[in-house]
Amino acid sequence: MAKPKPSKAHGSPDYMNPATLEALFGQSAYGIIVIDLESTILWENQAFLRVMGAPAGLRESRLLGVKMKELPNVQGNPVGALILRLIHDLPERMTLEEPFESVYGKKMFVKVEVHRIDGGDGAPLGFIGSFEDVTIFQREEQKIRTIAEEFLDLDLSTIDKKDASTGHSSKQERMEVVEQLVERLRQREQDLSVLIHTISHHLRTPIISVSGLMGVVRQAAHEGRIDDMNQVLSEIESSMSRLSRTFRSVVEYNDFGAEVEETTRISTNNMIEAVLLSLSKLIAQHGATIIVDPNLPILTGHRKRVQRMFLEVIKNAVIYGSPDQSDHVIRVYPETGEGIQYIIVEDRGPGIPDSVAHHIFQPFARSHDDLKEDQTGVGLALAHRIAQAHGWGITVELSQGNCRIVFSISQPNKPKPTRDRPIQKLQPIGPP
Amino acid sequence: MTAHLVNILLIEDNAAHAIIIRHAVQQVDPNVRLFHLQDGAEATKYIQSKAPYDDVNKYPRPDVVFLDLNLPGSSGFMILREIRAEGEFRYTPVVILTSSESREDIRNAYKEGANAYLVKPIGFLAFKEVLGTAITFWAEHNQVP
Repeated sequence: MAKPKPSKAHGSPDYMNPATLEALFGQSAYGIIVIDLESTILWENQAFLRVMGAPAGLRESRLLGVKMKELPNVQGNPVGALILRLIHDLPERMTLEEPFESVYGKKMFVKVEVHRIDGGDGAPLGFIGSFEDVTIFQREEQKIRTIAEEFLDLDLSTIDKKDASTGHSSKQERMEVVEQLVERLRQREQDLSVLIHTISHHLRTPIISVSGLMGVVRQAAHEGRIDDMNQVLSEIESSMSRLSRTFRSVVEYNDFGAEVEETTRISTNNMIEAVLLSLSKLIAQHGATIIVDPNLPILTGHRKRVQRMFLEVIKNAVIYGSPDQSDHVIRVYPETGEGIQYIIVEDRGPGIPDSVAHHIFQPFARSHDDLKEDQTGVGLALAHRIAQAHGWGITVELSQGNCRIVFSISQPNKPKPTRDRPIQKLQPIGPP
Repeated sequence: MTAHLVNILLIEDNAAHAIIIRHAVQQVDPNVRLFHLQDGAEATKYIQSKAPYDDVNKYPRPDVVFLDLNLPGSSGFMILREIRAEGEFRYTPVVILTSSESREDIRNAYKEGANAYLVKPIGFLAFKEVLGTAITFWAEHNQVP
């Protein structure tokens, strides 16, 4: 049923007559009340009681009307204030949309629209008001905001202007948020599609190798070419090994990005020490020197995943850092800025080719033959997933001769994710 | 089998795939001479007839190029661009032979001037069939200026 639009013209429904009101608005989904100039509620439908948060079983609201007048907290709330303004100013029409606490303590968000009822001579008789409970709508908007800010990392500050009259963002602003959400989700979908194709390609390559080489080895066996057979069988083993590593990496990439539920306090220095111990053979092979600042911060996170995060980043620096052993220095040190703690892993080598730098945190960013040391191309992507799962930022900063992986960490855990550090203008690394 | 000697340039970084292709081609058509290069830099030298590929008799202009997309040093698309930019190679049929089924790769390949896009099949027999068909069509039946 439509909301009331009282008319001043002769012959319009008698809005002061309860029987007429019952016939017109009794079953309305909107809460309807009629009040006189003394602010006494003359008539209301059941929907009004529901919208106002009246307790179950209350059959009529004259009592509610009295309470609304009597209770100071009601007079102080927006709906009470609206009624008082109506009585005082006698406007033809007023609207209000604001959160308030009902007389029974329920937190609500009600949209109120009030029309003046005039008598045949044009003198005001009272008001008819429609009340719409938009609490659910507001909760939905809040959900959208939560998704936008926490999951899609959208900055809503520019569109989150409060409308002075309604107290919340305008419809246009909400639409802008939704449009941004849709765009971001579309981008996510596109990224997912690329990821699936990339993984598919990396899994398919060794399968093609093994299946094709089986035919070659069969032919070699048939012709008694033992040397050829041995060579081909080695290739099959190599392909199977690559396939196995790729499978494991894909599973880890999925698992390590899951929400972090159990956290402990972690000494980053102790953790880096453990990482360096596990990488000691690799570090020795590459002749790398690792310098760790003794004042790295205490972190709160998932111990196993955080350790893996540092392991992947340091391993990347060791393998792809400076090929010149005399200059193969990796530094791990903290920085602070604007309330954010940074942990930086810095090496002096090219580290990451420019061609892949912009998508280095995507799995399989490097091509097969750019990969060294049996890497699968998922290491930095894994570190990125782990950082994200903790709400930390991770960026790569490249300059001639320097490569930095920068973790941006908020401590203690903040409700919002820490944004990536803006790209810094790098200076060459000085002597340690 | 082709009626005359056919020169094929294979640009393929994956050693296992190169072995499969070489064996498949040998079985499909003994008249094929396969020149295998492993990376983008070597391919560029070959296309530009630079040393060590400056002897045309030893390294002739290919009748067909089989090109993988993932190459160390440069992508297959860059090689494709270089091939099309080199006057002598402008009309040489280039067949992309890759593991990638990405629509974007397929679109880009044709955009850069590929003549065909073949996804590497699973199994040696399938390789023989795909390569045999491609060689017959592009090296035997197809006419180029």
